[in-house]
Amino acid sequence: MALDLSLEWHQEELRRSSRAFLGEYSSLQALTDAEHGAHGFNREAHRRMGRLGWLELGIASDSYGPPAGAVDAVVLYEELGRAALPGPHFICQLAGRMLSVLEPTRRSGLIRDLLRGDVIGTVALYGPAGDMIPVEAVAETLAGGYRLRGTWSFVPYASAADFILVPARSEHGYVDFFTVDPRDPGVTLEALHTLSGERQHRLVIDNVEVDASDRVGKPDSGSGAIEVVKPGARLLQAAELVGLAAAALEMAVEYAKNREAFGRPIGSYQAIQHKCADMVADCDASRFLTYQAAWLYDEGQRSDPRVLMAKAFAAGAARRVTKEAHQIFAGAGFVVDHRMNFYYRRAKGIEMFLGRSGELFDEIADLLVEPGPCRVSTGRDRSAGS
Amino acid sequence: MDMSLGPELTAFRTEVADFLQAEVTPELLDELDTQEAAESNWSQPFSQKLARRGWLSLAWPTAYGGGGLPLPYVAVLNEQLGRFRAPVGWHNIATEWVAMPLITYGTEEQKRRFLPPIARAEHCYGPAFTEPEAGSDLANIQTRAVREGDRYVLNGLKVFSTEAHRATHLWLLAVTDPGGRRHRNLSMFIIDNSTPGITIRGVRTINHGRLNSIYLDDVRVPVGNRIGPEHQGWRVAMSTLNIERSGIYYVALYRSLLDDLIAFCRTTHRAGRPLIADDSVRRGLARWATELEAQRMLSWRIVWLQGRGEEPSSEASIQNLRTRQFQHPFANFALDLLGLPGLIPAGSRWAVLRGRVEKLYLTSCSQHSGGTTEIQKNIIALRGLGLPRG
Repeated sequence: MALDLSLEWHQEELRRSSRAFLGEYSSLQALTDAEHGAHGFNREAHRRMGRLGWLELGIASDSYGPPAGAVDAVVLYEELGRAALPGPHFICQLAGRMLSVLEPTRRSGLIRDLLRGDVIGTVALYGPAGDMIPVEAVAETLAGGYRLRGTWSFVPYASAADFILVPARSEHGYVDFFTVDPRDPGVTLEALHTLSGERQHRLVIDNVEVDASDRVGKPDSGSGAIEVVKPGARLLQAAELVGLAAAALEMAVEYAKNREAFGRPIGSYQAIQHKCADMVADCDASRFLTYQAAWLYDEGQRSDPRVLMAKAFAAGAARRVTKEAHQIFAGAGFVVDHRMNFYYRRAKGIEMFLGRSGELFDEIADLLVEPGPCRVSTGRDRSAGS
Repeated sequence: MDMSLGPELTAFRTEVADFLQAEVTPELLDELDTQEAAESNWSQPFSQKLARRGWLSLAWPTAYGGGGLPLPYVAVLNEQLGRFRAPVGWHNIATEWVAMPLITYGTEEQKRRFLPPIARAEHCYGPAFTEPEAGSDLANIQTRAVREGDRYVLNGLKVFSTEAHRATHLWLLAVTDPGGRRHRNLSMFIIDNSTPGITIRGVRTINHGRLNSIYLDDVRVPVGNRIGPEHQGWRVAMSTLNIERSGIYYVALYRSLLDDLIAFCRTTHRAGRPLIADDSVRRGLARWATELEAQRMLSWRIVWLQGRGEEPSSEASIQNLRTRQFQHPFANFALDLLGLPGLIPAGSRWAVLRGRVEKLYLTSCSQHSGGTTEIQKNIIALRGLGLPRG
């Protein structure tokens, strides 16, 4: 039926069951334990999500065909956001998408294990200074393989990973991804503790030799693969941001109904009411923008600027809503034994990864000003607007 | 989930767009830019063209000459009207405020008397609600309607009425039970604007418009012009059932203004290069396009709810809030791009973008029409979130 913004029954069911499931792993204690644990997440929760088929949602078997299931994935990620659950679910999805795009057949076993939650894979997207381009890491061609060296940073959950997808540039100038075993003696990981609380690592590879078969995909396919997976991955992020904001709003409203000051609930004061009204508008707008984007994506309209707008908007909305929620909680939410800080921090972390707001608006501008299919490139073409 | 319009609505949208492409000519826009018309973007001949296609009564029951179509058709029409900046001031108070309450609460005789001239764009309605002591607190109105036989005698003062100086009729709320309970003491009337005792004085508004004060001095109105039961006027006035409430007209209107701005930035050079090559300009345009798309989704949520027969409440306030909050900073951004020529109003040969930004900047300093922004926020907080009353 046209003009239908409602979820299908199986999506409603997914929402219900994932909310119940994630509730088990997202108590304040669980969030705190996960963040301070050895690898920054609960391995059991991750494996169970894989068994439930949730890690593969939105990844179509043929990644070049119409990728069905983006709306399903968005439903799940909204719930992940509501729970503020830390973990490698997103980066495993991204790794799975990269592998499916680059080598769906040859890597099918790895993809299956990854998406079942048995294997953890991560992707090194950023160079040492936190930039995605240019790729400075080097893949020196040897007989039958490559010698890799370079430094990457902000590699999510690398300490728990069984493999890392790393981009490196060969002497031909090609950028390709290689699978690297983080346990290789030439690999050094250094944990980075960032504002978001999501575990990330600095990765140094010092002349590690890999086989030719460790190159993923055909030569010179790395940059293109990132561009192919970006829009879908950002949809998941948008949904997670939607969930973070929605939960923060609900918590703040509940608190405002009960917390009394000057003899009545603070939620009866217009200063608080009007703040909440602004938060609702942000939450609702970002939710429907994100669902529209997922629907467009499933319809094959992946380069529509409205797909990009979802994360660009949801990031700002989640930032504003979690900040205002903190203001409503005031001192009570400012201490670490309260959930709110997870939402505020996580929202910024997701915003900053794989497309900051400024970068997204630049990309949207490219599409608005210069209509047409999304250019696949590693960098922005400065001449596009002139 | 299916965010497409589907074949029927898509075909209708195309039909409307083709019609407006041909009818909203530069000459018509020139005419609207004159001082008189700019007051509220109106043209009776244009409204009559819409009327001849049945587009002013799309969702009315067929028994009263309506199209009997679901509300999403009205939303599709309104989106295109906004997109083409079509003048709607002659008919829109009648179609958006009067017609549906009339269909819901009017007698058979009243519907046959008042609805057809609205559908034909013969009648223009002026709203007569606000009074000096009843703005946000609308229920505090003082205008009295005293029953004398088969007539009511009205005395009082209505202010800030947008169309009253050219309206054929007034849509007026008055006190019929001065001792009665709040919200149970008012009645709703349709009043022929040529009735003796009505004096209308105009007041200029800062955005080149005109609002009217309506002095009612022993105005005799037939009992048959009271719409709905006596003392139940509050319910009639507040009834929003089956009224297209998405606010999509304005979202589309501002989106078209943004498109004009993008075109301006392509063709305008500063410091030797086109404005559109400037990173901060591009980012700003993208931000506002994203904000408008978010508002468009808030609008389509309302269309969707209404299409399912549900009545939006705080959802409409949320959309409305977001559009209001957008206007001023957007106008400011646009003026920054346009520079000093952006300050020249419509009608001057030196105006840019037909003075639309100048007018929006002036309009956007005060968000009060139809309930202030703060009232909208109260509705969202109390009705939408269930926060306690103060």
